[in-house]
This record gives sequence, structure tokens and C-alpha cells, in this order.
Amino acid sequence: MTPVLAIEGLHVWFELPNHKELHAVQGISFALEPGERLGLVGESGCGKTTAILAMMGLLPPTASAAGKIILNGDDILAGGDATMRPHRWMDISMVFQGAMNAFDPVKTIGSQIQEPIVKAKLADGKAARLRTAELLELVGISGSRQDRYPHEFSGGMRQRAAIAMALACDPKVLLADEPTTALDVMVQAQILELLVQLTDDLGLAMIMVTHDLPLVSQVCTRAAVMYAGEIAEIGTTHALYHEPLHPYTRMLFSATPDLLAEQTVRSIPGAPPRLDQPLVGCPFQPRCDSALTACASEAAPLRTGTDGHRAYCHLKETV
Amino acid sequence: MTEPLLQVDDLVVHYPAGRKRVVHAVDGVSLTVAPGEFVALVGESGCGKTTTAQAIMRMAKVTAGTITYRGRDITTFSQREMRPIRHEMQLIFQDPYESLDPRFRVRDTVIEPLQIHGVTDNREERVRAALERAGLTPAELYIDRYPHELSGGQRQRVSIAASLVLEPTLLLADEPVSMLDVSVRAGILGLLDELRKSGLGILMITHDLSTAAHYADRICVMYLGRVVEEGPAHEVIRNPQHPYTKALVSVVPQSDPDRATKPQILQGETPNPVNIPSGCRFHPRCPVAEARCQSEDPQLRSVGGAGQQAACLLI
Repeated sequence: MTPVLAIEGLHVWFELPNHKELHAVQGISFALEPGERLGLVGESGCGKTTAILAMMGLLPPTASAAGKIILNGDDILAGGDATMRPHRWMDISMVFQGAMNAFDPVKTIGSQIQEPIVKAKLADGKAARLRTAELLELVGISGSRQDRYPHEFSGGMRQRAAIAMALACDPKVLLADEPTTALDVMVQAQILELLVQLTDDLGLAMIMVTHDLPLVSQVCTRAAVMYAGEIAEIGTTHALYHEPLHPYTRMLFSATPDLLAEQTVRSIPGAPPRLDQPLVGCPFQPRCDSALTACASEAAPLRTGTDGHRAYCHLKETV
Repeated sequence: MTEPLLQVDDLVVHYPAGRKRVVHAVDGVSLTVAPGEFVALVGESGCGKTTTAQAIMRMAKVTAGTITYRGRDITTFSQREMRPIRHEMQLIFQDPYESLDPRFRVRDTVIEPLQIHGVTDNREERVRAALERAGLTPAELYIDRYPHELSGGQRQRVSIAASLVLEPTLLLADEPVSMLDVSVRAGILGLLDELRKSGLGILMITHDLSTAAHYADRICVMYLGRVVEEGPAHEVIRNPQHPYTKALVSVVPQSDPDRATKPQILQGETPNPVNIPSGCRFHPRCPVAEARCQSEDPQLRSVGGAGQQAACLLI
């Protein structure tokens, strides 16, 4: 299948006030098939949110991006905002972190969902209302509630409405940034079920950004584990859990308490490296429990497994 | 069995909500924490778990029920009478980024409880001992630093050191790791586990069942101001009895994508604690509710494994 979205060597730099540069995303590459659910996981500051903001062309003015973002065969990063804008919300859309708290409290939910539809001149007046009702129904809210205000909705319902808004222009790719953070476990389960059902029914591809590995295991078929702006490992969620190629993946899983597993939960010592200075060797080496001498000085080579499973690590045996 | 450190009986905390309405934040909660015991209070937002902890610290007004600390009924203690009790009962806050004063060096943060409680002897030694007990070793490396020079995990350790410096016997930890990165959470929880082994009683409030399953001896599951199930962590997680606990356990995502789970997703959200449903308060969302669940209010009783209790008419 032709990927709906392909990221090739994406870099993002932020200009810092002290004239230094912070290299937030350091050349990541992956492809997303239509209807696929890919998890993007890692610790705070690993570049996962920056990467998807770059895909939306919504980086702040202090940032610059390089590489290719190929959407349906066209590199939309090449021409800057001029090539990004026609696709934003139309073909590639996003549910922001905390989106459920970002609704304007003095406007009805419906009028806010309508905004992108009207702006994109897809419909107006009665047709736009009809489309809004349809979108709300799609996310499990009665269409008749479009004239309600945000405070009349619970947290879970506002998150559903935020998803409806992201789907307003019928995108092919949905980027979801921590879509269930701050939600209770039962409401989280409802939202995850909805996201799975939407991607299945609409053939929508989704990238879900989260720091929560079990969430990815439950929802996604594949995942990319990011560390220090790079993809340390990418593969099917099955392979990442059962046959990880990178010690970071294995150590992240063992740092995560698992409901029914009889495991010893171990934290990962140390902290991620600063990204405002060049990295030498493998960036995970100072925290790695199986580092070799080469890891400190030489960039980690590519290791591959089956089904597109790849990792950057000096180790040759299983980790 | 050793005498419990903390015993809460039928605790009720109601708040006025205007127009003669009442928020039933906590509506009859009983629990105990023994020395060296790690108890987790779990539940969704608004179930009353934080209010329970605040009432235990006497930071929320108790409407009814009793709170007994080491055999003494402290429910009606004045703020002055509470001072020596607060010395022994310490709270660990959720957010290490908010709870530390950015202008205080680590020493100033950890020494403050000693100043407040008028402990004058060996302050420096006590501060160092508390830092090392909280895993900040050697203490000299951290004692003169400011919060911005520390990582999130280290900040939470400073916050824990400030709780330990008075050598408490009971720690109340409200979501102690939810603001921290996954990679450092285990370190903080492991620290609490070690403190428990040294004889402290720990009551941890969390919404994370997996964390509770791994670290707690016992789990109390709260729903809408009540404990609906309580028992040894192993039993509550692997052999849940109450339909609410069963549903909660079933929806927790697991690390192994191949592990077959049939999530039993409850519809709707927890009702507003102003209008408590009649009978069993869980009946409007309960997948197995019968007619009598609308009128009879179930009490906790022994079900399932040893020491396990649930409040359901249908078990």
C-alpha cells in the first residue's frame, strides 16, 4: 500500500534566547499506511509533540524544520506555509493536548465545530449545521446538543467534541496528542474505543502521542519510541513488547507498572541529555544498562528485525 | 494484629453547594492503616479520595464519623491540639513543581517543618538524614541547590525529605508520581515502599490501578463518596467482586498487546455528588443491577478472598 503520510529525515530546531539552538527533532523517518494507528511514545522533551506540530505546520516562529513531510505523495514541507496551509485540517488534522479545555466558553459547541467547515467553504448555514450534527453523532453525542455551551458538557463529552472538530473537514490523517491525559480511566476507555472505531470505520490513519506505553499497546498496531529527538526503535507493538531491539524500549516497559504482570518495576537512572549541544555516540548510553564501550563515542548503527522493525543500537544480540 | 496507626470510621464530609443543596464528597468511609502498611485509595475524579485525606489531616471539616490516630480520637481536636499530631502525620503533594518554593534552597525547604514545629536541636543533621533517607545521597550534593537545578524526580524527593524530617509515622501521599515521567516514577514509589518497610504507614491516593496493584498491601476502591470494595491488593485486582471494580480493572490498558482483554466499558460518567442516586449509588451505571438495587443501600461485607469486602447486594 502507498503510505498516506511519509516522514523523511525530519529535523526541528528551536532558536534559544542565548543564540544557541535546541535540536528537538533529529532526523526521524517513518511512514503511515491508510487506516493505521501508530503510537509515538517517549519521555517529556523527547520531541514527540514537536514532531507532530511540524507535520501540522504549527511550529512557533522560533522554530525551523527540515526534511520531507510527504502527504499523499506531495512534500508539503517544501514550500513552507504556502504548501502546508491547503492541507492543514483538510487532509491532516490534530486533537491538541488538553483540547477539551480549549473550547471558548461563550460560544456553543456547535458553532465552534462549524468554524473549520465554514472557513474551508465546505458548507454554510443549514448545511453546516447538518454537518455539525453528523459529526457529533459520529463521536457519540446527540446532534441536537450542538446548541449547548461547553460548560454543559462533561470532560469526556468535550473531548469527543474536540475529536469531532478535528474530523470536520474529513481528514486522512489524525494526530492525537495525549488524547486521554486528565481523563479518568473509564472515560479514557470510552475515548480510546471511539478512536479505534473511527479509524476502522473511516479508514483514517492516526498518530497517537503519549508517554503511556500500555495505552499504545492497547490501541496501536505499531509504535515509534523516541529518545532525545530520535526514533530509538520502531516496530509492531507486539515486537516492541516481546522482542525489543533497543534497551530503552525494554527499560521503559519495566519502568511501567503493569496491572497483572508479576514484574519488578525499575526506574531508569539519570535523565535525557540536553539537546542544545551536539550528541556524541548513542544518546541513551549514560542511562543504558547494557552499554558497550563503542556506545559512548560512535553513533548507533541500524538494527533490523521483521515487519519493518528497526532500532539504532550497538548491541548485536537480543537486549 | 498490631493496633492500627490510623482508623477512620464512617467518615462523612458534606459541603454546602448553595440553594440548600449539599455536596456529598465523602459519605461514610471507613479504613485503617497499620504501621508498615501501604494502603491505596483508588477511584475516579470526584469520588472523594482527596477529601478523605484532607479530612484525616483535619484540613477539611468533618461532618460526621471519627478519625482515630494511635488510639486517640482526633476528630474534634482543635488546631492547637492537632499540632503534635501533624508532626507525626505528613502529607506528600502531587506536584513537585508547584510545592517547592523556587527561592528556597533545598536546606531551607527541608528545615522549614522543623522551624514550624519548634524543633531546635541538630537541625542540620536532621535535614541531612532526611535527604539521604529520601534517596538524595550524598546530602551535600543537594543541600545548597535551588529547585530549578533539580530534575522532577529529585524535586519530589526533596518534597518527601521535607515530610520525613519530622520523623512521621504516617504518610499521606496524594498522587505522588502522576506529574513525573514514567522513567523516574518507579524510583519514588520504591522509596515509599522502603519507608513502609522501615515501619511507616502509608496511605496513597491514586487513580492508577496498576501502581496500586504493584505497591499497595491493600486497596480501597471508592465510588461517589463510599468505599465499594476493599481488600488485599492481589485479591481486589485479580479477583474483584464489586461490578464497579470489575469494570475498572477490565479497562486498564496493559503492556502486552497480545493479552486478550474484554474491556467492560461503563457508559456515562460518575454522577454529580450533589444528587446521589437512591439505593446502591452505582446502580444507574451498573451492568448487572436489579430492581432492589434502586432502593436498598448495600453495606460492605466479607466476600471473595480472605480480608476482602464489597458493598453489593448481588454478590
